[in-house]
Amino acid sequence: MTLIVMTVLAYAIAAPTLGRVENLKPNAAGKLILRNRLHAPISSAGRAVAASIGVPGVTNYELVETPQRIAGGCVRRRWTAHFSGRHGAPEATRVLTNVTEREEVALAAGGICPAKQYAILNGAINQRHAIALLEKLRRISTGRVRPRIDCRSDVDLLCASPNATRAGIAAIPAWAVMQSGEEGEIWLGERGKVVTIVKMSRDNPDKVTVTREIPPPF
Amino acid sequence: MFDDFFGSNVTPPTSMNAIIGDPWAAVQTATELPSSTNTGSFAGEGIQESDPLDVLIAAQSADTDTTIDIPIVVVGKRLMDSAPTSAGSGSGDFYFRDGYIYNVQEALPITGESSEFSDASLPTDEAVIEISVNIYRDLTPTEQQAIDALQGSIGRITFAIHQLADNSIVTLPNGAHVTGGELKAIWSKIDFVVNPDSFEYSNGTNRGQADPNYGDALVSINIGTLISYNELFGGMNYLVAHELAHISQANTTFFSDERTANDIARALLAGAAILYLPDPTFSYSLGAPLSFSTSSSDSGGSGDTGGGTGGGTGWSNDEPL
Repeated sequence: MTLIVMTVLAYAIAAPTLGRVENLKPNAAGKLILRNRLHAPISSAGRAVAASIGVPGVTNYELVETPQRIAGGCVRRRWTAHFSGRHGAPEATRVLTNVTEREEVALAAGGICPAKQYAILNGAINQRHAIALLEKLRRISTGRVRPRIDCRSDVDLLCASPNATRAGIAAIPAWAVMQSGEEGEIWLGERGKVVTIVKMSRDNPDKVTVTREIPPPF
Repeated sequence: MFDDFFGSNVTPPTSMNAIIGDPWAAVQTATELPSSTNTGSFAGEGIQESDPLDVLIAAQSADTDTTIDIPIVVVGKRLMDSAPTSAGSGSGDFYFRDGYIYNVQEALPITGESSEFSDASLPTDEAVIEISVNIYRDLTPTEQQAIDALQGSIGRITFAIHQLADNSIVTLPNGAHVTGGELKAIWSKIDFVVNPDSFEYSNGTNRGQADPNYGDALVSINIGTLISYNELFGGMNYLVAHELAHISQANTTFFSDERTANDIARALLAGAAILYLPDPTFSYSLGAPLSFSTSSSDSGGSGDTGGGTGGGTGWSNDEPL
């Protein structure tokens, strides 16, 4: 009897495996992976899309919270659970070894939080500034604000005309927002593909720099 | 509510010229790497290793080709409660103050705070390979081990590159070539950054990037990825060589090709008998490792297979680092 109790207890406290997590619904998977961590309800979960060289023997599994409304936009967290195991062993046997988190923001659409097209807060930038940057980008892409734009594209005709640039940045979603000193920066496009970088300076708000390039690999 | 961040709204200009500004034309990126290799004298002391963070690593010259003699400097916090240390011998030693490590070009007092120390004594880019650890808290033991291992791998690869003759060449399955001189040119200016796990790169990963940076290469790796590769047999050597290999393909259509980078990395590591990851993501091309060779002599490429077997000249490969 004691042995059974100990076995059950050991199983209960053991780090969950990928196979166990993948058999659960998102919110249940979140409760298992994020136990002892404060988090909002998990609305979606699944393996992270691999890009560049993933670490052999490691599977990343992402949990995305239900977004919360804040002034001007929406915020949610994306949790990444790292499952590790012996390289070559079945992925389902990999064990949870680490969890990391990132905040994401999006502009609210008609007062409602969208389900997709959130941008990661990359590095030291707070939610309010990140949403301000996204709002500024939206105004530029729709022509409501018309700063001077310095544009460079290594891959296409994004910079052929001001209208082409505005249309080009309006057509693709932002996926990361960051701040370095007085300069805000937004990355747009499909993650892992060609990146379009929009830089805005707090000191010089009448000027914006747009660059489209092939990102450095890893 | 948003204007506090960007100042007042921009008034729409009245003419298109005012909107356009200068320049509007698409500009091609000029990312030519240096065509000449770094030159310099070689101390000829062989490779030394002491405290992993207090190590001066130099490669021993095997021929009369371009030499590289580059200390590797870690700038950043290390383990809590680590005692300040100094390297033991001569100029190029470094120590840390307030938990940070600085390169010291000239002999300076190392007891307590050094008021003589200033940024002016920091080394030039080509004088060192710098590993900047952008983690502003005390490192965990596992993180410290990974950074130490990164430093060790950079030392080994410094040696491997140094072994190559400038005109040694490896021909890749896609028909492209990489020469020893090209790798030396990159390595003479390369630096490394270790970022927190949450850091995202424009390539869409939160693992790292190999940025040619207009001839001043910068490899960034997140600490979690560094730890994961450090736990794999030959993983750290592979990781560093793989990123160098990517940079060697800048301005080609193979820049982002992972298997091409793997093949170059394996050629470099196997040729110097340095341990390497036997089964990386995207794998290697089938067959034995490619090797660097010259028309007059074969300066590299031992051709061993499957993870390397140790025994490189002047560098201990006994540990699977």
